[in-house]
Amino acid sequence: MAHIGILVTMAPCQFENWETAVDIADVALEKGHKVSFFLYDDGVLNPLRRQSSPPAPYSGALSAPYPGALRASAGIPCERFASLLSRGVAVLICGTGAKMRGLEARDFIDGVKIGGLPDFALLLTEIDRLVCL
Amino acid sequence: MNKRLVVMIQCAPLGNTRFSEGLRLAMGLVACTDELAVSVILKGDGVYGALAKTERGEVSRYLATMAEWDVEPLVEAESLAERGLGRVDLASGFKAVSRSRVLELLTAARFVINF
Repeated sequence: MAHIGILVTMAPCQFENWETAVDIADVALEKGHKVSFFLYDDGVLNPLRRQSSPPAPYSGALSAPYPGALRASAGIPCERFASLLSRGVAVLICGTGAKMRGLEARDFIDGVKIGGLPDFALLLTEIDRLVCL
Repeated sequence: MNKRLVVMIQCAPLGNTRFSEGLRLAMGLVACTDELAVSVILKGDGVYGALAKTERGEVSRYLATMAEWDVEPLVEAESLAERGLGRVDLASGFKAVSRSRVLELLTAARFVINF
């Protein structure tokens, strides 16, 4: 079993990175690996509690029916992250990045931890692989 | 254990947060732990952040902290040349290195974080 770290720095409504990240995490869990997230910069916007609809369709996705086609995103980011949390995935948020965006602990789904770069540094000493999105 | 971590920044210092947030992350990792050996590489439009004439604002604080820990940001020479720039344009505290050296650092790193 490997411990996979995933760093997400992009926001959910403009970029598809979050979806790639949670898809990788889903598959990693199925294969018995351990997964930990660190959400940094606009990545902190992914597990917001009050998200109620999926992002607008992404264009040109590889899995679209043909090049340039629109493809609906696979769910609401906060729900996908909640599912990961329920299966033991750790989701750590950069507290400085959250504060810059006016976000507090109550704005995030249950289970995420607000931390900082010292926590990420510690995580880097524990993981086997790092995926940056 | 290989402790080498590279933060590679390819975004210009103005117009978005990628440059400053990349350096903030690098600074934080340098200051938070001695379990990692952190290198910073400026490549592509990221080299604009190393110019003597660039106004770096808050980012200067991050660079100063890294300097205290003897971390000298590296600037890819070929990226400078592609933009009509050279070593003479760099601010003090930045070191130009060749693309082949950048490749060596990337392939030797345990982790690479890209901004």
